[in-house]
Amino acid sequence: MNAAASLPPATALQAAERAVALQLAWARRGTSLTQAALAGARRCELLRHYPAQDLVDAEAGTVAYYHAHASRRRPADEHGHFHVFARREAGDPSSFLHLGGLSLDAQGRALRWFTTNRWVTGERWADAAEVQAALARFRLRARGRLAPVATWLEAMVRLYRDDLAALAHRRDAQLDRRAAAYPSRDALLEDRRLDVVTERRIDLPARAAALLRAAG
Amino acid sequence: MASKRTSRSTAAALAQSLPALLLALASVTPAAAVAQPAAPAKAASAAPAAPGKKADNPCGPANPCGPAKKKKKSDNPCGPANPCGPKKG
Repeated sequence: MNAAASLPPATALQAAERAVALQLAWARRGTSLTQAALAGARRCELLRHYPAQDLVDAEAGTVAYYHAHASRRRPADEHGHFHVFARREAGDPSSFLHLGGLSLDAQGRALRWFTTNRWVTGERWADAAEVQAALARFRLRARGRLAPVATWLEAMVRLYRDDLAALAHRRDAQLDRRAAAYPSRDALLEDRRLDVVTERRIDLPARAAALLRAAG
Repeated sequence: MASKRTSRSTAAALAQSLPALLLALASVTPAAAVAQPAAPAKAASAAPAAPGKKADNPCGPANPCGPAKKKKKSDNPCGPANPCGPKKG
């Protein structure tokens, strides 16, 4: 992995605290992050984006949304997942890169981060170094009832920034290893069998507890 | 000094909320199961395409996980595409 500055422990602690506090607030109201991610919809329809026009932070150039569909590597307990994107060029809505997908179970527990190939998102491909740079400046703010969802996602991207960068580097290494079996790089990036390239199971409470132990 | 204080207060807040979250999550009602869309399904094909075959439509379900595309603005601001505009003439 590229030797960029790793996340300072105080920043990680703040991000974990924010993510945990928000999930606790939803749980105390008898609801969950997954329900909040559905943006008020009573049912979750296959492939539909929640919210319909995505969570967009125009100032920061970031986009995210929640949806659900089948995949060969979908965990059995996944309800749906967020996709998180960064714009590469201001003013060009088609120019974006995928920072990662984040699976949730039906009660709002974060299950895994994952990366995809280009076919899945239709993005203009960015290598891991570019993903890592975008992760370092990631911010996602929203107004209205989706503001807490945006804040939670921002906290999760921050908390798992180093893991996401490592996943992107592993993705590139994995694609490099497979390249010889394809007639071209494009063929590899568009292969529908390679929808999820790398993934990492996560456990927010366990990560938060580890940070607390480290903080003494 | 101030950042150490902030870290301590953050750690204290997290130490309180973390066990509460573990308890609370156990009783959270699960979100509704994922349903098929009411309209004819536009889901991406589960069958893998031949390697190297480009998606037919990079904005549609061929790329099931891309961000939403903005709707095109109407070409004619006075036409039926803008049903709430003032009447002409």
